[in-house]
Amino acid sequence: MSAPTRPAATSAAPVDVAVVVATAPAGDVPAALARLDDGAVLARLVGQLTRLGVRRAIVFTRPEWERDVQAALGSAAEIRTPGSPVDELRAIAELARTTAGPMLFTYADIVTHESALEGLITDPKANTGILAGGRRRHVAFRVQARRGRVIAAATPYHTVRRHNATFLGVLRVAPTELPMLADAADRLAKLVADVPAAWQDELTRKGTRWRLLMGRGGPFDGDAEGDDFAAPDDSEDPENTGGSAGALSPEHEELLANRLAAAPLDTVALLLLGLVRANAPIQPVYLRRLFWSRPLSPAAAARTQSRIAALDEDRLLLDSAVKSSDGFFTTFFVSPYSRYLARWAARRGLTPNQITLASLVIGILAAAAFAVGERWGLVVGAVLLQVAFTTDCVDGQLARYTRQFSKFGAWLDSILDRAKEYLVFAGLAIGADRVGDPVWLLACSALVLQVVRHTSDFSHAFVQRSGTGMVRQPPLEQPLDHLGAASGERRVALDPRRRSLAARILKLWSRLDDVRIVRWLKRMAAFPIGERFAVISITAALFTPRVTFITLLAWGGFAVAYTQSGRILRALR
Amino acid sequence: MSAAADDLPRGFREDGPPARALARLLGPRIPLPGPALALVGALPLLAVAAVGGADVSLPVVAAVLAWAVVAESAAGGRPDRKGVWIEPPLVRLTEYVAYVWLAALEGSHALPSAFALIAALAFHNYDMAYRLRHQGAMPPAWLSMPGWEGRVAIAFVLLAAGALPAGFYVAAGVLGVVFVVEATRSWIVAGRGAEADPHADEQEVDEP
Repeated sequence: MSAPTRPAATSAAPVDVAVVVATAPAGDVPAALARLDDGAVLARLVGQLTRLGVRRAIVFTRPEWERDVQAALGSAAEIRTPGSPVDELRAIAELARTTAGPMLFTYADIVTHESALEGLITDPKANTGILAGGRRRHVAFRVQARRGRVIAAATPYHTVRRHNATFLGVLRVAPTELPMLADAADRLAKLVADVPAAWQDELTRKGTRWRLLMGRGGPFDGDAEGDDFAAPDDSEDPENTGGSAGALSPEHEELLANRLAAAPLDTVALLLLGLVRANAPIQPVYLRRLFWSRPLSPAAAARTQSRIAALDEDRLLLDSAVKSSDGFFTTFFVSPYSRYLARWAARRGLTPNQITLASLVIGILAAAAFAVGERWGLVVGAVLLQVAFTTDCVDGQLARYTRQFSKFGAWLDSILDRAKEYLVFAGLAIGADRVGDPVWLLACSALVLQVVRHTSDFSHAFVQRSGTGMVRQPPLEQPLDHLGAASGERRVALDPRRRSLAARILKLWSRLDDVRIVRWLKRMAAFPIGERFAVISITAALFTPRVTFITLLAWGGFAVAYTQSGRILRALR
Repeated sequence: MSAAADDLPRGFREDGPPARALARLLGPRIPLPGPALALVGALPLLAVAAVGGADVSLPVVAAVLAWAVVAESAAGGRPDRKGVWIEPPLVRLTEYVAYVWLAALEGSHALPSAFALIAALAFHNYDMAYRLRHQGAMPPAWLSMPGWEGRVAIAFVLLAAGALPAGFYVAAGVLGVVFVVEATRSWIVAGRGAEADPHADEQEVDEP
């Protein structure tokens, strides 16, 4: 079972047909034909798609640009000129009905790392998914994702109230969702043919907001210098900005004009909306540390060129392999060097499952050393346990770095983590027995506490997830992302006087996340695995197993009180 | 929310036939929220185990355990769904504390056997959660037989019969082998092409 198990679908092309939409303008030429050092943006993108196994690429462009696009691409892709977004959507519906394999829809004018596209195209989990960025990328449309699923998406005509990510213009649709996509494209074509007044209002509102944002300055190529996931929301609604719509620089005026001209032609964002409103399961695949930009003017393209040239893609991919949700100890004491071990393992051709098993063996040796009971045994055990934990971090990072995900590997990693931890408990208790300080009652208590804590986490996560599987979606025509009936209830929730005490405490509590140290303290309070293993190593090496178990019980007990009170508050809200 | 999804936290409880019968019989009749009822069931056991409780006569032990089994089983039958997620961890807590207490009653030399038994059962407990997450389905229900209340009853009988700690060691060994072999078998079957739900193994990613 050491080889990663990939689903049967990857034996065929990972993408059957890629639709590349090159209708956005940079002045009166296609933005997709902006020059980079290694050719036009469009040619670069199509080259990346071809290398990643896209069988057939079809570029949609305007009739008057056909000759230029043809010249830039040669025979790398078919070119079609539907003439209007309506005809384009109809053509897409037709393609979706006649294509058997997965399809990809993308803006033609984006510049990104090949690894980012690879993550979306070849990730076996992402049957239908989007390339997603952090919420500070002003040039991209906003989306809301919850528990690995996109539940709301913005378009030129649609808005998302509680955005927490952005759509980076690449949508992969699995064969199972293609009929849904075809129906959505047909219905969208009818609506776009005679744009509803509410849609037009929303586009006008967006134009005002974009102008205000640009007036405040900022990166408008979409390159946010890496996504700062935890950054506080920069209240972007014009009502809150307080800034005046002063004159923009000529370059910003040009960008704004191009963006406004591109908006009504944005069929890719509309297709995503169509799928979201049809309740399709859409997974966000995050860009993380990799580069993405959408240069809509020659000056923006030049900036993109200089930025991407300065970046080391392999290094960024390695940084992206580190989980952003890890605890304090793991993030600051293990991940900084474990990622290089992951790269070393990748170069040696080791698989994640081999690393997982090596970690188990080292964990068993640590438990055996603890079982000796004397000081040298405790010290050796403490060191070996840290080696086992580092190895354990390496396997996940190696899997993400080399994209060798497997369901079995994930299961094995999780279950062996627990096995190692409890073997070490047993080793410590045996060792304490041998030096005449029996701690089996404490060891049993620590074991029970930890298993019950995990059971509570699983059970709670499960109930939460089954409650969010289906969100009632409003119809395509409606710009707002929530059902009309719910809006009255929301207004009540927004009124601070009407909010419950629990909701106010939670709001205050989440505000504290703006302080970096508090954020890390909160993660530590939940007593994650890195902290637990650090506690075991330090207390065992310096003191006795009795101190280790008492510390585990005290911190673990505090963590129970902390997490349960948060859950109870959220239930009362 | 589908009925099957709704019942999954109940699957984590590992109720056997007696617990399910008690749930059907008593659940609708006791006017307490499920979580409160489960807590009421666990409290006497937790209290007596916490103060040591090593000099308790067997009938009292039986009464405390029976109270926990009856109240927690009844909690599973409450029609109210609010806070249902708290039941599986409370049931696990009750069950595991019972083993530790029963071993302590035998004497402190029996405590390692309780550790071994809980570790074996914990493997299955984790396997239920991780297999659901990564394979899209829970392990077969027969692995949970005779239910948590049945296991506690057998543990009490072992104590009463003077079969501790050997009884716990044997149970831990047999269960451990059965759980590991069954889990391995399930992955061999799944590896041969049974297509799992592609969205089942979404991690809890703390992303934007």
